[in-house]
Amino acid sequence: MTVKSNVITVKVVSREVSITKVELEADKTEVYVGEEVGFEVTVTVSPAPERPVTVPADIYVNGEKKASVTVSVPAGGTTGRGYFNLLFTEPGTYEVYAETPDKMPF
Amino acid sequence: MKSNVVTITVKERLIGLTFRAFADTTEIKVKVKGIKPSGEWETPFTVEAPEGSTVEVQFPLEIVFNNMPHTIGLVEYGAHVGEGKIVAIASMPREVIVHYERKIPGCNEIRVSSTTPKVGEEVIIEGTICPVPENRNVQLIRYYWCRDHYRRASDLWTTCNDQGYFRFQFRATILEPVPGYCNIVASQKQRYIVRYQRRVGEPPRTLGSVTITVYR
Repeated sequence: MTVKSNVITVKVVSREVSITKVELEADKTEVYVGEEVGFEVTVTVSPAPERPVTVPADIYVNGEKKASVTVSVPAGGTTGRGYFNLLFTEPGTYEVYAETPDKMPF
Repeated sequence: MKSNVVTITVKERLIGLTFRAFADTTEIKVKVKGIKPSGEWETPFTVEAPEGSTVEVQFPLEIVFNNMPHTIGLVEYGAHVGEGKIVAIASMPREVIVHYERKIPGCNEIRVSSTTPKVGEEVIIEGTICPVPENRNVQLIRYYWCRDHYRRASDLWTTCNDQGYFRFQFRATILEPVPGYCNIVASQKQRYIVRYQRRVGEPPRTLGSVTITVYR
């Protein structure tokens, strides 16, 4: 005969941060055909992670995914920055934005 | 999480090409027609075109200056592709200068034996260049019509004699459709441009051009 003890339920949750803000800045907004524009993506997370977190950001140009960049947030920090360049070969107006997941485990 | 949107405006860089015309050494006013871009101007004038594009302007092939007929001779920073049509590339701002030179009867003219030869018929393109080119070389540039534009084929060369007389002689052919060249239609319509260099080191000059249609 065996006697079964009570059951203890252990819930394992991943440590994650929420991305609270993504900001995109360009070094210029008017260029000539054949010129590059440099961009900076700033990601703000909450709470400050205990370990570094890498946040992927997809870059969209006129609604079409054109590039990806990773943004590193240091341990104990709440912001990280990533950089990329885009080359424009046709005249016109281009709307550029970055998109990240809402949460990232670390 | 989506970021703010940054709007980037990308503009074409425009290059100014100034067209001027001279008869002998005097700057003259000449009315010209723009083919690309279209328009009508009088020299001197400036056309702004996207960087790297080609500007095509129709000049009069012949003018009267000081009661003397003059024809296009040297073109600086552009090319005379025949019949007064001047082509220049908008690579940097510059002046395209068209020089009209006094036309001497029997000089700097080209003749073609037939503009409607049959396949296999001998075609003769001849003329006289004055003054005689320093190196005597005369170039015949051949173009075949391909759907909507002329496509250049290999050139023919000859030399003129001490009087500047030259003669190109060849059999009329129809270029059949060739993959990679003009693979749609046989080229019956053909254009021939005669060019030479008056002095070594100078840009080439267009003596004239003829268009022929070869029949089967």
